[in-house]
Amino acid sequence: MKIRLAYTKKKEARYVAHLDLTRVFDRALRRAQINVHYSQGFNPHPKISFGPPLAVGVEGEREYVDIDVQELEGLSRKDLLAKIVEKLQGQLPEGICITDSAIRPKGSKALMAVINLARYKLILPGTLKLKADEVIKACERWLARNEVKVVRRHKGKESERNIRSLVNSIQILSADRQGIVLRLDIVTGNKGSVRPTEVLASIASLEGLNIDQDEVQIIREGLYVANPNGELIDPLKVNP
Amino acid sequence: MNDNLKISSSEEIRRKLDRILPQVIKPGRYVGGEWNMIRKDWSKAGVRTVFVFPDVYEVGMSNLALRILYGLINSYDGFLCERAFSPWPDMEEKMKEAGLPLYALESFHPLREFDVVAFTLQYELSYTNILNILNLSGIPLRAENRISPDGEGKEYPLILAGGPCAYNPEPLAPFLDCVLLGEGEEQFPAMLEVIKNGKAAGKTKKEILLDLSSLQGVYIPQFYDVEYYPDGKIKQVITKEDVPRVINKAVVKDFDFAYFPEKVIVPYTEAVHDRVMLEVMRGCTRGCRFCQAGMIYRPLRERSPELLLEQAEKAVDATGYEEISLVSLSTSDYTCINGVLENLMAKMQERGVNVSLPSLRLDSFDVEIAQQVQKVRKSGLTFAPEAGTQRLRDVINKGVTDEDLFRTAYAAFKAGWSSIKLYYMIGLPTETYEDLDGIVEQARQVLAQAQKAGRRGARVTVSASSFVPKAFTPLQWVPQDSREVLQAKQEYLKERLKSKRIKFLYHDVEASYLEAVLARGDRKTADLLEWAVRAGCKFDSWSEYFNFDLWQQGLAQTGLDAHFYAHRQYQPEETLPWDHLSPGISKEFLLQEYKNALQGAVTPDCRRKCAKCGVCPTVAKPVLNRRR
Repeated sequence: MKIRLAYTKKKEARYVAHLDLTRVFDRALRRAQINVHYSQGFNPHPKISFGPPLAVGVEGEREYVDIDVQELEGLSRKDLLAKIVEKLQGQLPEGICITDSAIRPKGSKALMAVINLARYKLILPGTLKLKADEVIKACERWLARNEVKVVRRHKGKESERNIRSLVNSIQILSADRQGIVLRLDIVTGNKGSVRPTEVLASIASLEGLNIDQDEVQIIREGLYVANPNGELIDPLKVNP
Repeated sequence: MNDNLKISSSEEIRRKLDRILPQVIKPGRYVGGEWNMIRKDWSKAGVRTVFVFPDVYEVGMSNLALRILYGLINSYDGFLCERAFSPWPDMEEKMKEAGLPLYALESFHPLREFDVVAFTLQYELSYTNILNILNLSGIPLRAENRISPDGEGKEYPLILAGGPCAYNPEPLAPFLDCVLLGEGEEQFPAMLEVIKNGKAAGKTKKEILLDLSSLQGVYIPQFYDVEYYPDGKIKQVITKEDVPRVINKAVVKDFDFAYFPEKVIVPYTEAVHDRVMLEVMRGCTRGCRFCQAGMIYRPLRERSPELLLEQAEKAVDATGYEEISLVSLSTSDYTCINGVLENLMAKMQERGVNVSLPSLRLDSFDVEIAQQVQKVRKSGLTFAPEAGTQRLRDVINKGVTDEDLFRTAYAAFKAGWSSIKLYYMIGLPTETYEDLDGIVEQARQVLAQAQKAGRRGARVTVSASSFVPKAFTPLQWVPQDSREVLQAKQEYLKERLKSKRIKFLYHDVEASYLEAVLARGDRKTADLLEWAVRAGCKFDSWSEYFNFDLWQQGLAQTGLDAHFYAHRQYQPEETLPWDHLSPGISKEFLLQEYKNALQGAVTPDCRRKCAKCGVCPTVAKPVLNRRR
């Protein structure tokens, strides 16, 4: 039975690297005495898969994982799910909190295959002394550009990408003495993605804002399946 | 000393970290919070200890002593034990920029705030990291300078050390307040009790150290003075206080009752050894003459199979680990190994847990064990013939034959393994190029076994480390080969092991040379260490950080004659820097074994015939299971 869980990744757990997450969940499941299915082959590994990686140090409010668990005789799937959530929660590290869960129908697609939008919250603290209207204007000017080319170096290779097409929208959620809170909707998944820090750096340099990135707090609010009409669907409810 | 360490409250450290951590590699190493971490009430602890492994987190978290002592000390009501590791240089730099002192991972208290800072001495090349950690903590390096201004300010913590290198702690003597020789399971809590009582009674540091010196295994370097002859050899070691002339190690007599850490900390960032470590026995009966562990951990004490199975189950329940490793110095020598493996695997398979064995000996490795382990997982196999010819293996008392190796290799290839790693040492006493040819020949023959077993594409890795003479081994008197000779030997092997199917690995000769200096060093080598740390030496066991040029400058500056320690034949009649310490083995035995080595005379496994090393039954009795 394939289950999908929504969880937070906060506090110390935000320093758990994406590549280490499978191990963290595998061990928590074993401590919770929940049996999962393993892949076949020489080096069997547990069938646990995640959505798009979250950068180390960034908090996530609603992350997702799929787990292929073994069913138990005499227990309905619904009861089993409730039991798993309860037992697993007791074995997860501080900061990882299961907030929602669902049984996935047969033929459900992998999280990485369906999730195509990531929503980030950027908190620019008051100490940066930014003016809200200037930030709004800078964002508007940046969004008005047709393309924004950014060179990224990876393993010695340089690649140029247009990051403008990867940013769907930028909104201001609030602005007061505490600071300015921005919301970024960014394309993610198999078509590539861009880090919110890259977007912010690009806005700062192209539109003339002075932002010390070390001061900015970034939170990933959620991950969605955006359909062609622009509707955002929760991965827990998406079909298939 | 670092004068820029202004921040000291744990809250402040925690706050500052959130700004630094996104900028460093693997920040998960610096925040603690792992599963099974123990966070005790700071204000209620009678003695606060921080256990420090002087290397990076991933290495330190793999250490069995840390797992045992962390769990053990925290199991006492009045004690608290936290952890600290060496920050990787990128983190060290950020911490210095922010004025952050080194802190413990549980409470974020700086090391300076603890009562006891306990270092584990696992390898000589971590010594600079120890001093660097003291620097990063704002603690003066030398014990004599750790005197708090009269009546004002908090006393500096007691600086403790233990572990295998504690059998010659002399290069660190001026920096340490107290050294524990031997096993800590009983003695470490006893020491903390003495410290707690001393603290409560308002005793001075010196009074507490005197109290500690009455415990078996406890060595207080400052209570001993070393006098030298003009040629640099030791004249005598004098006691300055009423302390034992020779310190005997502490030992756990009944291993079944020894504390076993079930709830070990499960790191989120992968550690080097990230699995349940089930210690099946302590000690080894083989008597390899180069092996310090084989000498200092005597006598052999096996755990009962029933207890092992129970411990394995509890450990998996508490950690969720997907692998159990049966560890010891020579696991296939464990009397009931087959039964334990069989039972373990029967229990663990359905939980998706693998069972693994560390490096195996050739003569006791049988096909049955190979196939049992293989049922769960086919990890690489490692064997340690140590030398290429029978003659040289007899010199070091490594009682394995070519036939053992080839038969075992054949069985392993037949059972499905496709790569075998062979460990050797070069620079052993009496070694000639014929012995090196023997290494080449063995590697080829092992590959031939693969062919015979029908395993095409099999690979052999040959790893040759350079011999380093160690204290309390029969080869402790032997000089290390010069760097030039070792390098020539490496080149010789490299030339002859050129093959697509053979991978040849060897160690940096400069690092082995420094290791020899520190392994056989006396108190005079402390000046070199201090100079090196001041000059920026650290992580010497990491080739990317080992800076031999700097060390050579240090030798020139301090005027220390490194050859005196690494390349000199120590005389049987001379007083060795570690002669006032004892793991229970008599010097007569070591000398006899040294003579046997030079004659190539083999000493049998002491399970079969007692070699009269002096440990049994005075220090402890051997404990063996009945074969079943």
